[in-house]
Amino acid sequence: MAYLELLLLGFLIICAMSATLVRSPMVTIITLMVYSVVMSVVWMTLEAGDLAITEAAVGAGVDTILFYVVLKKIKELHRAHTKGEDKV
Amino acid sequence: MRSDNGFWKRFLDWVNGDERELWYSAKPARAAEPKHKTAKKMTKAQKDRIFNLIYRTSGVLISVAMLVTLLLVMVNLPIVGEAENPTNNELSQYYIEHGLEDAGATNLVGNMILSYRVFDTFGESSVLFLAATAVTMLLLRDTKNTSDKLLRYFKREDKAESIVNDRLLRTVSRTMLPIIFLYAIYIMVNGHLSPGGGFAGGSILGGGLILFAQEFGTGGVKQFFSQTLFKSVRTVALAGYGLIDLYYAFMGANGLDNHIPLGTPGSLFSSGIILPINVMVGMVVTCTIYAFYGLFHKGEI
Repeated sequence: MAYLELLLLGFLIICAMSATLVRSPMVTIITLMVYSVVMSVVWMTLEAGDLAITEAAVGAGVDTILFYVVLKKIKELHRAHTKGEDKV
Repeated sequence: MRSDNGFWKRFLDWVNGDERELWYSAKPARAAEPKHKTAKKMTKAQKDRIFNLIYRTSGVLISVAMLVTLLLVMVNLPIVGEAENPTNNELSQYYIEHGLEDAGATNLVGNMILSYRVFDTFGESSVLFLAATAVTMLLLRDTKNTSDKLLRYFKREDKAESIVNDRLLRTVSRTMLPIIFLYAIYIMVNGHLSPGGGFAGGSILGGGLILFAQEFGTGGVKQFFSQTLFKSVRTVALAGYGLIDLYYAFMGANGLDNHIPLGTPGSLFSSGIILPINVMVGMVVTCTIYAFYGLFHKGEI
């Protein structure tokens, strides 16, 4: 069990670092989602069920969707800007 | 310039959205002194260079100061897991021993956050409510701030989505949506018996609503979750939570009996105020999360 925890914690560090190092924002969002899923398993190994459920629902689900929607908005604005329109 | 422009008048104008500066001087500006023609003017490039120098230096200084402060705090923190730490006081022991008879929920976390620390959770719910209100104020579309161009854009986007028609998403969401909704309601209602509670259940329900909106469009959600319903549900939920909370805390603080039956521990209708408060928190969280998605996506709920 201790080895599993060490593995999960190492994976957390890798996820957190790669989220800042990758170039594409989309990949960053997906990496953060993976981080949240691993984190919820870590909460489960620490016997914190409430936190695990909340982390999986908010961190992996809702956060990812919100980031994705905002990224889509930014891309639209960028496209409109390069086209020379003031607003979509 | 008027002479009756006192500070409070200006402050009131500023609050009401006047674009003048708050601290502009009411006195008439002095007659500009004749400038020395010989003083050399700085070019824009020089100004930029000086600005960049100051900006970068101050940025580095602030970062280093923050880093040193945080490291100092971390060094002085008690070591994790020591027996003499201030977190290991008699409080957690008390919660474990007396939680069931005081609050009546078998989920000790539920006891703690919804009975002993019910004001704390009320503050969190209010924060979510206010955040949703602020986002609604900023991003909600109505007939005044919507251009035809934007509407045409949305129509085009809808058409593109209907042409692509992702079969994987459709099948998965149609199969999973009832299960997700049921699971969310189970977590919300069963928060005093098993891990979970209002916040977790509400966020799962909100996520399910977002999936529903992806599958059937925001128009599909509107058929049962209109803007009026959104407003009334979250207002009623927060107000109900506040009233229950006030009653409970007032009676408890004055040493009176609050006449809320605790019920048999372990059954569904037990644990006094925890069950209704879980449901109300869940409603507020659901509305907030779906409102965030709807407003960021298309500016409507």
